[in-house]
Amino acid sequence: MIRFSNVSFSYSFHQRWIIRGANFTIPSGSFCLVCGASGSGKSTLLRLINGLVPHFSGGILQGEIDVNGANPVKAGPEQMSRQVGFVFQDPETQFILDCVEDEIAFNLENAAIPVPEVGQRITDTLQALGILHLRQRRLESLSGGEKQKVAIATVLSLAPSILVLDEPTSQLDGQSAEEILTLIQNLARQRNLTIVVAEHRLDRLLHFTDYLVYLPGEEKPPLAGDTRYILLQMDTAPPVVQLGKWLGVRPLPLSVAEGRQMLQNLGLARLNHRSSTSQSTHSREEATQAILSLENVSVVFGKTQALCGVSLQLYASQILCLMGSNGAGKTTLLRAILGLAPLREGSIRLLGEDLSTLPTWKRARLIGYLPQDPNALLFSETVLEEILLTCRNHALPEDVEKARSLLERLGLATYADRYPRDLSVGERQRVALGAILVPQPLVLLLDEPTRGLDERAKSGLSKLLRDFRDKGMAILIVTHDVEFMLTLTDRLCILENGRLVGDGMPVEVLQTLDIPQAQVLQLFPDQGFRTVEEVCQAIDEALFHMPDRSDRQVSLVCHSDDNRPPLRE
Amino acid sequence: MPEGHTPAPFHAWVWLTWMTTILLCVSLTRNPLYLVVVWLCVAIVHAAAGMGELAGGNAPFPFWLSLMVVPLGAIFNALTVHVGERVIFVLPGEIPLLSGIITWEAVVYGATNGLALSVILLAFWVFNHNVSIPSFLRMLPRAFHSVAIVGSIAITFVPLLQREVRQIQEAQIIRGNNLTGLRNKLALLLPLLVSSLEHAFQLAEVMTARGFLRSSASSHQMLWRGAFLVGFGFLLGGWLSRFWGLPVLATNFLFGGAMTTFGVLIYTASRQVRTTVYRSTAFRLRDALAMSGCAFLLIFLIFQSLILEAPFLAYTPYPVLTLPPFDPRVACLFLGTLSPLLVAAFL
Repeated sequence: MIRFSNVSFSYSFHQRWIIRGANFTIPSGSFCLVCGASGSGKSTLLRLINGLVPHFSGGILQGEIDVNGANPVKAGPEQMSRQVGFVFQDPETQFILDCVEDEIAFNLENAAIPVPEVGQRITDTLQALGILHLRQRRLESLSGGEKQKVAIATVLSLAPSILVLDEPTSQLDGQSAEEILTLIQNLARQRNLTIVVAEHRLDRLLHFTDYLVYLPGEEKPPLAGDTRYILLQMDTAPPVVQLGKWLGVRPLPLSVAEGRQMLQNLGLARLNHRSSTSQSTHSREEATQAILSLENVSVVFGKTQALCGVSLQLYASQILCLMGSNGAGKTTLLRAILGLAPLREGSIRLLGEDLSTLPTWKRARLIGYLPQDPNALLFSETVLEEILLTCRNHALPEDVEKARSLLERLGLATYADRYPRDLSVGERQRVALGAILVPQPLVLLLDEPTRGLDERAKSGLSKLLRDFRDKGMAILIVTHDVEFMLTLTDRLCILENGRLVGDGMPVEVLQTLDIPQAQVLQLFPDQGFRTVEEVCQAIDEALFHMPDRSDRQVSLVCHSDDNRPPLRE
Repeated sequence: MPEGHTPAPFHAWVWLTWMTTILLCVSLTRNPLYLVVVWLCVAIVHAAAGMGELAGGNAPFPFWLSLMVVPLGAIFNALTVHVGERVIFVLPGEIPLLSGIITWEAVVYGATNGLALSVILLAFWVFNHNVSIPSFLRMLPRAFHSVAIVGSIAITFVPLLQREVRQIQEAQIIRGNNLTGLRNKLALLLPLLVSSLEHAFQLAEVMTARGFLRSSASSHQMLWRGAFLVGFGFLLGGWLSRFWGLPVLATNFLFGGAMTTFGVLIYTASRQVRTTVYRSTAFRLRDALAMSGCAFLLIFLIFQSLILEAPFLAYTPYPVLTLPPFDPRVACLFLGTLSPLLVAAFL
């Protein structure tokens, strides 16, 4: 059991409470999801559970925290590590040694677990996570999903009663994320673990969750309690929940299966879709010359064929999304376009000109590239200085007015004099975007731009990219975020094992391939819907033609207890 | 055995003794002839390690890179230290720090310092190459949680730093910096510093969350503090007695007292932190033999140079450059640092 009694916390460098009036109890053995916008205090809340905050960060703490009878503030994170296993956001930064077995043993050695027991615990933990075969593997050779499993194994080996995970799926594709979460849920049941997860991607987690903590930010107290009850009070939710809310259905559906049941009960399983955006862009493409053209591109790293004969055209005023599982070669493709990954075969042309002789720093003037971590692009003291730095690099005039106008377009005008790394993830991303947009490139390449973004930031980014597209820019986006892709693009390519295996209209491509689907597509297969708004419009029309409108009030038999009050104290 | 690993030919303590001996050698002498001998010994061990003679196969630290510091040291010292009698030329004007006489003495002293630095670079590569991270972490004093964390950060820092440098270079290129010219290259430094600090912070947080070297209930706190004060008193007494020119025996007694007190303190405090060793490495006869060569040299240097203060390694090119003394028997002593290679070759 984790009890927060009137807990408020502020970092010493902040002038406001990051968490205020937290008053809830997470029951033992529950799967608790902590959600909220970027900067709302999710990571802080997690760190309060094991005492990293305030022991490691400093700050002002009020109220009482009780974790299975222990007070993390008094005990400190070292003592709490036996009870609370903490998995950080980026598994790579939390590994200390270079081999899976050594990494797990390191924890057990420090806990003075007797040597004969160490080997047994390593075996048991790896077996429970289904990664016994990785025992002797070097960590650098593992995939993203495997690394995440090893990070979980490392903390689970100490048999904690609470497992805390900070955005465990943010770097994973949908399939790996589902696999990890199912695994965590099974472990929780087997070992009676309490799971506390902070995550932005609610669609991936809600159906696992039985307790929800929502941090509204702006110094408002957290809302905590039964998942369905809290969802009713939140302004963002995954498509299935949004639809349930809009239809006024109680209890709210949390998963696609529950959503289908809801639609079936309401007689809305099949709708007529009059799409206005489904017109193929191929006819337009055929009429114009490709801005960026890849012909038979192959990239090899050592013995690994990262890309194999990829051919692709990108046109003006087009947003093309590229999807595929972790390690499929998506980032390599972007790097190859920019000249950061050498081509074994093939050619890349920009407006018909071969780029092979153009060095990367010159290509950067024509092709803007935003890598996964926007921090990597931020070097200057102020946001305005970031823009001017790019001007200097490209030998462009340092026009402060123009720079301010670019910041205005990016919604960053008020941050011009702020230190870029102090901003939120979404704001930092926009600064990095501004830094690469200075030379007005013809093509924009974005690698996982929604990573770590909350719904509001995602929607802002989506609007910005549509704006760029309307002004004629060609945009290529690598993403795992199916919902984001569907709201943005009219063309989707799928890359698997370095080969292009799908290219076309998003809905059509997704239906032909075995990859995780957007919730709307799963609810209405073969009907061409992409967003909740489209579905609502079609439902409105369907209801308008229904003889008896009281059908809308059909109740579902999913869960019967969602109307109980939240578990708040 | 983890994949990609080859069995370590020697116990980590062998390499720690070897490394300590090398560091002591380069800190005790500025005789360029002896330093050349030490450099050659380290270079031979380094080459053997690079060829997989001692451990498996990473690319060796390039000799040219380690030798680069020799001319750099000479130039820097010549330009900034205007002392000596053999003047090469005079740098005119009133440029702060730089203007003045440029002497052969300063060139030789700078090059000698560069050579010492080159030895250290190669020796660290050999140590890093032969000692696994778990072995290194086990050698850290358990008593000092913060020291252990800093040590761990240091050892995981090099690969992270390499990755960071690559990332920042790429990021600069993406932003249109062609990375030619000193000013453009300097643009890498600040982001590198910031991201390195961020990584260090993250790692420290991770290790704390994982309960690294969690101490058991701290008992005898007052006793420890008292013992620490006694040790510090001995140390201070040693320095003062040296400062006042008291007999060497008295000074050494005080320093010895400080060392013993701190040693006992560390040992006792470390026993309070309980850990286990999952994959322990046995200390074999060949380890003892490999260690003995270095240990003999180490003890000899400590006894002769630090306790008896014998001046057999002393040399300075100032104020007038003279030929450094060279005793073949002393040079042969340095061959003790080759003992790991000799044992690996014959046993």
